[in-house]
Amino acid sequence: MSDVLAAAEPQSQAERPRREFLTCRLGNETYGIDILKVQEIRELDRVTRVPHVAAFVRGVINLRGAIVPIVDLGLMFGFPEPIALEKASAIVLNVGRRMVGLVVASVSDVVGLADDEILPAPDLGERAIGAAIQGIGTRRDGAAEGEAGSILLLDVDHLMRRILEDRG
Amino acid sequence: MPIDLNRFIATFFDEAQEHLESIEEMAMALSSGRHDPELLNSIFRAAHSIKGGSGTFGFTQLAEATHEMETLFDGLRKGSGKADASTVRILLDSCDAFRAHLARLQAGDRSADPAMDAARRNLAGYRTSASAAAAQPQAAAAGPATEESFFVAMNAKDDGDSYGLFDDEPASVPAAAEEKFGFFEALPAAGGAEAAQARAEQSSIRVSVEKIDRIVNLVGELVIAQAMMQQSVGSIATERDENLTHSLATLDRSTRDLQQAVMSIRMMPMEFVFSRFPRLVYDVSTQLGKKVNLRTQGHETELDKELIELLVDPLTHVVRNAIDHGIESPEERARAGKPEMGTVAMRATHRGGSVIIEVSDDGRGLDRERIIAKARELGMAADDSMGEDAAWALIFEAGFSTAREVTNLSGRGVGMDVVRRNITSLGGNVFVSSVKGEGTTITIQLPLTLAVLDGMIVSVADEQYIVPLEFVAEAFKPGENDIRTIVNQPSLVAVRGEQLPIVRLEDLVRLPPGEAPRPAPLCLVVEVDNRRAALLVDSLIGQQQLVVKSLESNLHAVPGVAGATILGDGRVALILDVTSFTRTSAARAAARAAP
Repeated sequence: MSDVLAAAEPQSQAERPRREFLTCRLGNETYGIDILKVQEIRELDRVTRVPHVAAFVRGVINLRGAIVPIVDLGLMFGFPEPIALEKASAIVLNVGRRMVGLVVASVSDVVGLADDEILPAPDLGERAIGAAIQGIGTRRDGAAEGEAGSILLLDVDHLMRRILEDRG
Repeated sequence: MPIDLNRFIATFFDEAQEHLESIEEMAMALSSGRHDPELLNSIFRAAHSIKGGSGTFGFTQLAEATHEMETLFDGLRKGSGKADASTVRILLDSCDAFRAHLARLQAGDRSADPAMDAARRNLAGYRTSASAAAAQPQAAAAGPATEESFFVAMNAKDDGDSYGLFDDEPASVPAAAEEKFGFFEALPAAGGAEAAQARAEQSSIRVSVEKIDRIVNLVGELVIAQAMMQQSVGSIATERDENLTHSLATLDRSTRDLQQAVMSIRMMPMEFVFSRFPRLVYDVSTQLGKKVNLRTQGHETELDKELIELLVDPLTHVVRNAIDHGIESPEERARAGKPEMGTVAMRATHRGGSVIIEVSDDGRGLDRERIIAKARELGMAADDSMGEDAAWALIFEAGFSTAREVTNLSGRGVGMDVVRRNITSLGGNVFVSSVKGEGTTITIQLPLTLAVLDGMIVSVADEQYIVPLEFVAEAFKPGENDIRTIVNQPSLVAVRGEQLPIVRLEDLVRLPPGEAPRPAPLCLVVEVDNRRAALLVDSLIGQQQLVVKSLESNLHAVPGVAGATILGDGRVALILDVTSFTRTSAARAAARAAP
């Protein structure tokens, strides 16, 4: 398969096994979430504040009858400013029957990565984002599409655990 | 096609439990002196059903032991001997052994259980001695269980009601004529029409609670969607749209009916609670050498399944207390001119939106002087001038027990305070009334369901919150002079001469401090356990029945918040945990009062 063809049909499945990630932006970085854990992307209407929770839990929403927490991924990772919730979208994750809505600065695209395009996560030490990065995706054809080459792949199970355990 | 029996093992365990429960119930009926042959028949059939199932799954020990029980009752129902107190004892002991054995089997432990051998020998020994006494050897005629084979019969006999567990498999398994009913079949009762009616009444299917909760959720959504539609249509509807208005009204009625119907699926009769108590009363009273008759009333009173489960422990405690502390020994009762047999009565009724469960005994009643003396001994605030109600309230304090000696039944001081805590955590209340020498009544009041709540919607800043209506005492607009500040913070408000601690809702829910001064707030007086506090809110929106949702299913428990609900416009509102903040405000008030 030639590079020209790959650029023309970015979504096409190559012969290599690929995993798909939903990418989103926070600050200057691109993050990726395993698409299989994403239930939907939802425009935020009204977020109800909840007291006595971690600062990154911005509140809860009604998602078809379920009460779902809205988590500010930026605050969770240590960005200083909260993301404006008006007209923001939330990526709703569904992991082991628990649902969480993640707000990010913007949702970008779905990207397929082959196994050899995913590098193991470096040791980020004690920083808040620490264990949340599962690996780093580097697209070989990324430059051709004019995108940032590396995607920080998030460990969704780790995020869910932190939301459950970090009670502010 | 071979039947995959594993699929049915779970059903077998459920049904075996139910059969054991009904054997226990019937044993209690026997012990109360009922001696109709139908009782013996029913025990026989229940034992037989367990035997059939255990044989099918290869639970040999259980099959053998239930076979002995079956044979014993086969003999008894045919007149070889008479059931008496010793029969009841052996029946109950066997049920305990069977239950423990079932638990082992369920945990996958299929090794030989010595307790089951003992149970089987006891039953066999008892049977031989009983039939020897009656000189009727026929009861021993049945062969040893191991030589029989048990087969699960298809529901072939049940023509009207033909969905059996096995109906994907036609009746191709040979069924011995004598072994026709398997464990899955309703107990075939003797006596035509009556039995058919009983079967019709009990016709039911098992559905997982998860599925029901999903339906409850969806219907909740439907109600909200319907309300929103009504709102938007209502604003544009004109006279020409009479049809539309009419259909909307119908839709409104139907959705509400549907919601009620769905909620009622979660309701279970009190029967499920009451049925456990005859055995408990029997065990406790035997152990204490007391004679106690249990009367239950209101079996059909319905209550949310979740509450039913949470109610068993507190009620067990109350009933144990009634027998241990309330009912006197037969000698003492005789001296007091009472019948030797004491009575414990349990009664469940609906009153308004609540269920009232009363447990009363005709025992010695509470002793005001002793309670006060004991409380003082324990360092609690108590004095002789206390009225009865205040004295009775002492028994709910932690660590309180007047039992003269500690028994393994009650009297370890972990009694009524735990009962009260459990009941209040369910949104209920506990009351005591007692007359010395005549008895004590403990009254438990509970909401019908935890899934629906009557709430007062209040607003502060731009958020809305729910205060459960049961805690709301009154609301008023305080005059400027009614509010006392402490360190410049509004801290106390005078209500008819009483100074109530003020709780600012915005502090409670940690709203960021408002920039602009807001309109003079309202006071909502809330009351929990006789502790009152004034909640400062901006305005009252109204009262509404609300579906309670958990924050924990997707987040975690949040202090001060009892749950959440979805309002008519689709937004989420938090339900305040009033019990928590009256407690903390009382604690703070106490700390302030201390020098």
